[in-house]
Amino acid sequence: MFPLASIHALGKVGLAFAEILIGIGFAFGLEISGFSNSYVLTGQFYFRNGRVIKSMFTAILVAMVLIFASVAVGLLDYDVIWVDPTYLWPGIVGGALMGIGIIIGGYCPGTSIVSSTALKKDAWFFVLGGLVGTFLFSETERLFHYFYNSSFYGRVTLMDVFHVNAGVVVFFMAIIIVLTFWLNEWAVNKFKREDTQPYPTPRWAPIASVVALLVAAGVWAIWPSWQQRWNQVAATQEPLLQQRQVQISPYELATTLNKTKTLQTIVIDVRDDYSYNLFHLRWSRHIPVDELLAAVPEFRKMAKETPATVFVIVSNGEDQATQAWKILVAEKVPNVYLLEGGLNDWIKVFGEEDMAEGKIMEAKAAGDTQLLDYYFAEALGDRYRAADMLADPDNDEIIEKIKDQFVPKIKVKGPSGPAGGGCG
Amino acid sequence: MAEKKSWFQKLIDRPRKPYANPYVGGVLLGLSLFFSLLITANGLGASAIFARTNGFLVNLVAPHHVDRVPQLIKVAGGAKNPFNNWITWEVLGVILGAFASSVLFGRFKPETPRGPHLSEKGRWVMAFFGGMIFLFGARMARGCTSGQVLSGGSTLSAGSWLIGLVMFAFAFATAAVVRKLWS
Repeated sequence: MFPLASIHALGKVGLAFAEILIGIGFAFGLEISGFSNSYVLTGQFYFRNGRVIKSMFTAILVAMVLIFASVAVGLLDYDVIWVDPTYLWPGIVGGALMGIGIIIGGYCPGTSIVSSTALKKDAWFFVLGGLVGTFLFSETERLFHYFYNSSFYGRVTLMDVFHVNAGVVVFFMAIIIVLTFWLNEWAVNKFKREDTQPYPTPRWAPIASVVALLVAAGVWAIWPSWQQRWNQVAATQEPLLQQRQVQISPYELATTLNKTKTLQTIVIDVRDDYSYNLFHLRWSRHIPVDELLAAVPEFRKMAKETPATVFVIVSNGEDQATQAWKILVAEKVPNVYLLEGGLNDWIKVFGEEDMAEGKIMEAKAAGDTQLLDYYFAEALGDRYRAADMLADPDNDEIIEKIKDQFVPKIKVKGPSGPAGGGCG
Repeated sequence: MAEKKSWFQKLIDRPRKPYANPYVGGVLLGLSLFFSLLITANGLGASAIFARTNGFLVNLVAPHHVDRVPQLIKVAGGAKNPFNNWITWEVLGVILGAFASSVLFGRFKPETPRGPHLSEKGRWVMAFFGGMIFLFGARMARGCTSGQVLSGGSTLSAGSWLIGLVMFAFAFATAAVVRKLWS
C-alpha cells in the first residue's frame, strides 16, 4: 500500500534519494516547457504563447488521473497523502499577491530556482527579492496573525464542496481542463503578434482531448462503491465482527457516554422513522441506514478535529447496525462500534422503571432482530426513563452499579495522516 | 588558431535548441508529482526552501530573535536544522535537473530575458520586487505555484483551486496593466 513513506519502506536515505530523483524530474518538466526564461514564461499572459496553461494543466490532469485511479484500485491511501488545507481569505490574498508577483518578477519560486541554475540573471534577483519577501513576512506576521489563521476549513476537497465522489470530480475537472486547453489554443491563435514563435495547435489535439476525457471517465467508472471498498478491507475487518470485538454492551455504552471529559461519543440511530419515534436514546442522531453515506464526510471531519471521538451505531437488533458499521468502516471512519443486542437489549437492561409504569410492555412476538421486542403505550421518543443514562442525581446510582459489569472493548485509535508536508 | 575554451565556456556555448512541446513538459511534471505523492506522500514544493533559508540566515545573525517570531520558530532555533526537511533534497534535485536540462538543450547561458522596452538593470529591479511580492504572497497562501496550484490542484484541495484561480486572474489583470514590461 502506497505512499511508501507511511510504511517506512525506504528509510531516511532512500527517501532523500527519491526526493532528489523527483526534483530532477520536476526541473526537467519546467525547463523543457520553457520556464527557465521569464520572457517565455510571461508570454502566457500576453498570449505570445500558451505555455503555462498547457504545461501546468497537463501536469494537474496527468497527476490527478493517476492519483485517483490508484486510490480507486486501493493502491494509494488518499487519507495519508498531503492535501493542502483551506484557509479561505489568506489564500485569496496570497493568490492575488502571487498573481501580481509573477508578472512583475517574471518567475515563481520553482521556476526561479531552475532559471537561476540556467544562469538567468533576473532569476538571481527574483530569488534575492524572494528571500527579502519571506523575511518581511516572518517579521510582520504578528501584525496580521489573526487574519493569517482565519477562515480555516481544514482538509476540504472538491468532493466535500460538491458532495460527490472523487470519480465524478475527476471527470468534471478533466472536462474543465480540456475546455481551458481549447480556449487557450484559440486565444494564442487570435492574439499572436509579430514576435510570436509559431505554436500551431497540434493535429492530434482532438484525439488527445477525447482520450483524456475517456480516461477520466474511466476513473469515474471504476470508482468503488462502499461495498467494493468494504471488500478491500473485509479481510481485516470481518474478523472483528465475528469475534465480537466491536459490539459493545449497553453497560459499556452508558458508561462511555458519561466519560464526557475524555471522550466524544456520537450515537447514530440508523432505524426507520417509525421505530425512532417510538423510542430512541436522547443524545442519538437519527440517520437511516440508506442515508448514512451522505453523513460520512461530516463524521470524518469530527474524528479529525476531535481524535477522541467514538461512533456507536444503534438499531433495534444488530442486523441494521452491522450493515451500517460496514459502511462506516469501509469509508474509513475511525473508532466505530455498534450496540450489542441493539435497543432491545438496552431496554431489557435499563427499562425496568418504564415497564413498571406501563409505558413499555414486553411483546409476545419477540426474537425478530429487525423489530423492537417491546410494545409502547405511546410514541414518546426519548421521553422515557431508559432513554437517558447520563449521570445526574437520578442516574448516579445506576452508573456506579454498572461501571464494572462489562469487558471494555472500545479502544480509541489516534488519527492517521501526514504529520506535515506541503510548502511547510 | 582556435582559442582554447574553458569547460565552463563550452557548456555555455552549446547551441540553443527550441523548447519542447509544453504538453509534453506537462506530462513529465505530472508524472514527477504523481511519484512524489506515491512515494513520499508529499507533493512538490519550492517556496518552503525560501522560508527555511530565511530561518537559517536569521538564526545565523540573531539566534535569540528566532525564538520570538512564530514563523521562524517553526523551522529554526535551538537544535533545529532548518534544512533537515524533504524540501532540501527535492530542491537539490531541482538544481541538478535544471543544470542537466539547460546544458543539454543549450539554454545554460548568462543572460537577462526581458521585454523590448525594458533595460537589463530595469529588469533586475523588477525581478527583485516581483520576487518580494510573490514570496510574501506565497507565505500568506501557505504555498506557491508548486505547493498549492500543482500539488493541491491534482489532489483536489478546494482551497488550492481557489488560490490558483485568483492567482491566474490577478496575473492576467496585472499583465494588462503593465503591458510595457513585457511587450
